[in-house]
Amino acid sequence: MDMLDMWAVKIAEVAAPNEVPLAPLTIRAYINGGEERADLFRSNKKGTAGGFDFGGFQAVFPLILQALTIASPILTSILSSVVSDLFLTALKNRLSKHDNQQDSTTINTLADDPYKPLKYCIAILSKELQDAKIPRKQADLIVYRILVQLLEEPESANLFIQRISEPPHATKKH
Amino acid sequence: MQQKNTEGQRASFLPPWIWCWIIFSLVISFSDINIRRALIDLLFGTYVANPTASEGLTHFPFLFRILDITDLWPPLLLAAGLFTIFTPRLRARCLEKTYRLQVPDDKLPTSIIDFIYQYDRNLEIKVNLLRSDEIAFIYPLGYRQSAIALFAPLVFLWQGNRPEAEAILLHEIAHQQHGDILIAGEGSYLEKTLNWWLPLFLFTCFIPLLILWADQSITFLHSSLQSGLPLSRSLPHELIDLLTLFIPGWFFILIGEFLQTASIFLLPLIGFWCIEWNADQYVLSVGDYSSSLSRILTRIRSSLSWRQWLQARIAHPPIKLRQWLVNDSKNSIGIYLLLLSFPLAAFTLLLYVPPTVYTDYLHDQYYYGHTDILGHIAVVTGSVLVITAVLWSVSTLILLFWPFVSSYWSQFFHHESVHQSSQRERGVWERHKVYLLCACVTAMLSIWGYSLYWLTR
Repeated sequence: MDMLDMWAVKIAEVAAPNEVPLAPLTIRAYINGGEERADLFRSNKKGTAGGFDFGGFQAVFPLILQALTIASPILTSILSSVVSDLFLTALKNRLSKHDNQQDSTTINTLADDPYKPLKYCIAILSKELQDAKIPRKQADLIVYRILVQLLEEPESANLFIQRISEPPHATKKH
Repeated sequence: MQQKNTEGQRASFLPPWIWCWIIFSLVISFSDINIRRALIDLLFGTYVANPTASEGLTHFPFLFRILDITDLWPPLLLAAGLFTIFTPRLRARCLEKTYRLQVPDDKLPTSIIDFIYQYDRNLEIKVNLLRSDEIAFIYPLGYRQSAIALFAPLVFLWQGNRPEAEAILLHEIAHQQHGDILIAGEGSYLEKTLNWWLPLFLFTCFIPLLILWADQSITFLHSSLQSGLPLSRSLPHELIDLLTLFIPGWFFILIGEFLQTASIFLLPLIGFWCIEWNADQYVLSVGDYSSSLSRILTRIRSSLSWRQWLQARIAHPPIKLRQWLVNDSKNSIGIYLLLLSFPLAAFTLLLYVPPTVYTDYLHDQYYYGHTDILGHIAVVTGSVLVITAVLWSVSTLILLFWPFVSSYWSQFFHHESVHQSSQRERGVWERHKVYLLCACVTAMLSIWGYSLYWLTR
């Protein structure tokens, strides 16, 4: 399993567990661009698809990849930050509180210094997911979990973010 | 996997009504004099040459030719249906290109492949696991060969809720076994044509009528002005004419055209709905899938635009009705409703009566008294009922023989032995009394239709 597949599975596991089996395929298609990437984001304009329709079903994992690409500059700076451990602790703290049903999971209550870049990054990522009609709370949770994964291995994560942010035509074939 | 339903009922519960409609439509298209006349008018403009149309009533006589298209809906639908039946390979090529379908690799869980092969070993599997705008659909590769197209959501559902994914696959497989996919389903030209009925109705009927009405009004106003009357005196007269003659007159014509179109569309529509009900019944016959199927149906989105809603209703029955038939699958009312839905839908052909009577009245109004109008309504109703009675007679025969022939029908489309097929269709035979009772109802309707026709001749 190469770095891309590993990160695809890792992120899908925490953000969209049902999508894990297709996560490596999805990330390849996203990086290849063109028709393959377009397929990932097609939405059903018809009333029903076949006999069934999942309310305009949209896979979450491609949306996450798109959000990560958009937020890549700030993500890179967070992952390279000297205080990345603090960010990780803060996120884990929030998630454990959520898991114990202690309070809402908003991160906005944290002080701007040094958490401003983290708050900004979360806002960007969450907005991208909310734009795809994912409810805000669910979007925030997905973002926290992804960021925890990325911050656990910042160096590898940085390479991964750079890789998915490259324009499709500049992508090397693997 | 779900526990098998020991009753094995309703495997191929409904007769192939959509095929029955195709044959009925074939007879109508070649026997209806109005259709032949409309076709000749459209092609050669004979209606334009008609003195009443060329007496300067309009500047746009070609619009009358466009209006003829409304009368040509039955042969148009028939042509779309026949084209779908006779070009399965073309349809397959179009679908495979549009959806970029490919032979599955190791990304598709083998458990999905095994499940499909358990029910149909000859089904080809094609995938595009990047797309999430579709779930699964089945399409024909030939007359006895089909493929099932699978998309990413089915794999996700297989991981998250396997019984629901199985129910979807079984629903699609049922379409192959019932021989529906040669006419209906993804890429069906008949379905596409039905989907376009409203825009076509607007462009071939509503807009031409609106233009003709506006043109006549302007011409009338213009001639009044030329007669030397000042505008202050002619305008009130025009307004009165507009409110009492033109608008109600055109409104009636429009309603008439709408009813005529509806009378043509509702029967195949119910035929399509029967296909879906039948496929749902197959899922229930294979195992205990009623709760899974019901849950999937609740997920079908409710916030549709009116256009999406309309398109969804053409291909699929209303969700609530579908859910009711799934949840109360042993409910006797549901069983009779299912079996009689298509024969009873033939009553919608009577919607053809009001516009026909109104049009005839407009053409020959000077010859009609009140009693003549009632007599004419009776004659037109009788002429529609005699056609409907033929449909009910055929339905009676189909309902009577379906318990005996359903296994042969499935075997024709599905590569299994008659013995296997017979076992699977055992439930249909077990319910032969229901078929017999429904056949009695359609036979009575048929006798009633013929009687009314003979009385009104």
